Amino acid sequence: METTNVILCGLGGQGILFMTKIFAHAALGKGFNIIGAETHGMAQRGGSVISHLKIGDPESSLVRAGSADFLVALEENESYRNLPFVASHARIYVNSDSGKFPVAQVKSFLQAHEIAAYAAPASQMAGELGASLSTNLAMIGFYSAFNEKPFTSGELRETVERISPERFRELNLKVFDTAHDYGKSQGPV
Amino acid sequence: MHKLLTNDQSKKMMVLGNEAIARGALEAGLAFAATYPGTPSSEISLNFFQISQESDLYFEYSANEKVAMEMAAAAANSGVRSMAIMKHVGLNVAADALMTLAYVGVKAGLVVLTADDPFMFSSQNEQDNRYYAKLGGLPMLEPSSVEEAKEMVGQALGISEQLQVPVLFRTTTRINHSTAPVDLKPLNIGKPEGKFDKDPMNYVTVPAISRRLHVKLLEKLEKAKELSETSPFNFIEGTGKWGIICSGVSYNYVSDAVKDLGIGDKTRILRIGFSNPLPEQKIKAFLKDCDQVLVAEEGEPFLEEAVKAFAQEEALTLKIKGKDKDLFSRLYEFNPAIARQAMANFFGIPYTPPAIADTSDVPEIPNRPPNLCAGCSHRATFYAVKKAAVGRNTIYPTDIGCYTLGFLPPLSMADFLICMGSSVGTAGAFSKVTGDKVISFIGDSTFFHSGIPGLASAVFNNHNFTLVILDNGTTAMTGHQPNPGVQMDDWKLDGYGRVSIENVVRSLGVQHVTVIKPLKINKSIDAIKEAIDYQGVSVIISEEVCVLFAKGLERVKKRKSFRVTDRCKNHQDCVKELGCPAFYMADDRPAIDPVMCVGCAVCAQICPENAISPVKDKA
Repeated sequence: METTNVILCGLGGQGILFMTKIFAHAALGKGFNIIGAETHGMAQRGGSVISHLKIGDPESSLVRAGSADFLVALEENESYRNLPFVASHARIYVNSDSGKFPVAQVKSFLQAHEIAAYAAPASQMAGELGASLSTNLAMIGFYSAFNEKPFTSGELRETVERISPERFRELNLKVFDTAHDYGKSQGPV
Repeated sequence: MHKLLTNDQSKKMMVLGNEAIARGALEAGLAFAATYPGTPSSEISLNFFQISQESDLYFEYSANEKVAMEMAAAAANSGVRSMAIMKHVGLNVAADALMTLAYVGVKAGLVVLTADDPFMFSSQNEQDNRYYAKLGGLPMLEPSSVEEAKEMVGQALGISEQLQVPVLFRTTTRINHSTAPVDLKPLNIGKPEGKFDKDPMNYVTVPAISRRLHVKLLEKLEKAKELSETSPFNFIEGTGKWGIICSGVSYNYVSDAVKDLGIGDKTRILRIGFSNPLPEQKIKAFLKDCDQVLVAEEGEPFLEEAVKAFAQEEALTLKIKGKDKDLFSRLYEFNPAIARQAMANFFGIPYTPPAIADTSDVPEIPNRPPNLCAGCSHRATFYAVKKAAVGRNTIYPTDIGCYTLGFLPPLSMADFLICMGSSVGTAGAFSKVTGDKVISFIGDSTFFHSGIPGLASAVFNNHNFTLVILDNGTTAMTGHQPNPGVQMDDWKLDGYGRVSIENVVRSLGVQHVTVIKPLKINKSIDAIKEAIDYQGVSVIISEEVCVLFAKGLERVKKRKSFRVTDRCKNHQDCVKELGCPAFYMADDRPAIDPVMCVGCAVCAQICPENAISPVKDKA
């Protein structure tokens, strides 16, 4: 199969590693090969965190500049920082509570490269559901509304259900569903 | 049950590289493991720690890597399969034990895992520990993938037992922290029960015995060479004339690049997984089948220099290159683009790298380094020391742990750092030769690791400095492992002792010792002033549990978060002096994110208008 390259980014403590885990388990569930390269160690100390994922038939784990099929960012500025990874005609999904995403210069960059950008106030959505630390799940739910290969939203949801710790399962699914439904009504910014 | 203890082999398991290594060792009869935590190796031992609580495995967090190595050495010489796990610089600490353990050898398999960190994602240097294999005369294995790491670590235990010598197992961050699916084999955890057969003529390394043991080690190395020649970990792919010799993750980048450049019919790849001793005959034969050879290895030219020497012995004059300004660098880690470009340059393939998106119009995003957490007690201690030392010329040697992050503004509380324990060891000299007031910082775990000898030396030599021991009740930076000073109730475990830092410091002869609670800012400042006025060695022990760790502790009460009230007159001391990440600017005024704030109340104590108050309960 063709390899799908994914970049997940955000800040330490936002749960990038758990997001990575959701993708990895979803891949395993479908019998796909997957390699992920993660940032650990200082991951909870608020610094920039990035996870590279290659799903398909990769040998190496790092996504090359200009080759990511899509990017999911838990923080607006981190999405700007990692734009060089994104391929032309690809998609980016960004958590933005400001409603100001993207800034003008980024907008012209995205247009020039025909990159479609989708934004959701994911932290706010998670917070309103009483899950202020679950921006990561909101972003997975949001992006799942756009039918990116190779996982269906049903497969992602099922994975969240399967790997969430029991005490968070119900809330995680609620955050996922809310953000998914929100995504259904959104077009590119 | 711990997920790595499953015996269901019907399906692949998705694991982190470090989990794969742990599982691989447990499938290969591991019974005993010891470590000092260090990224990128930490999750191997974290899994062993958890697994030891529900299986026969013996595991311990030792005070430092040297002790871990010695523990593993004794267990392996009592017939118990063992592992010592550490990061690359940890092996420097353990090297004293390892270099002579190489002479003594082992009875049961002993694998020494060194997790190297090219690019220094979380380390102070990027030394290439392959040279330890050469220095010690030890076999070394290096995996290229998560799956191979799992298989290879078990083989390493077997090779160690077969040759009766410790085996070095070298990983890099990209193996430790990659995720991939692996197949499982049956678990085979050994029992940590052995028998020590006394044999002082082979175990007590006085000079006369060591002279004989060195001969034995060289004999073992000869046998290791035979194993390396036929090892499946040293394999050749392709039949072309363009040779590429590679190891570790470089092999993956090379394989991807061969596909991308469409040169599979021209290339011949020698992947080295058994890298000390090298398979001399295999390499020589490989060179003869090639008309040029590129060596792709991260770090130093370890393979390259050896390959060139082999070529010289065979009087071969083909072009062999690796580290070169147009090829590979000795710096940092590689990636697929670097490998592709170097291969194109070396083999003269026309190749234009895909244009990297021009982001010059996109506003530059400032680097966002890791930071002390919201409510971290280290921030409070740094602030208090800074205030207590106002008006003095100060030097702040620091050490390795979360508190190293205090080096950035606005705290700026770090002036010198080279290794674990150097805050204490360097303090006396800075004080002696500069006459400045020296205030050093060290964490609880680092103090036990290598701070104690420096302090003993300082007391004996009558140095003049203040050591601040930041005791947050855990080894925080590497993921909250225990250390000899912690209360193991926090891990819900019994059967452990506990060492009081205060007792250690006093019994070393330090005359001025004060314990402070750093979240009480004014009291702390007063105590620190007294300590730095003291002539001689003074110690401040700053006790407050790590805020991240506290989230999981029942004994720590949750505090209310704080908010900035309308009394704020916008002095911004809170923002400018503390740099707490819970603060943000809302319409040019400081505000506090209630989700991040943990209620440490340090900002409330320094606000000149008393404008920061706890959030009121909802009615």
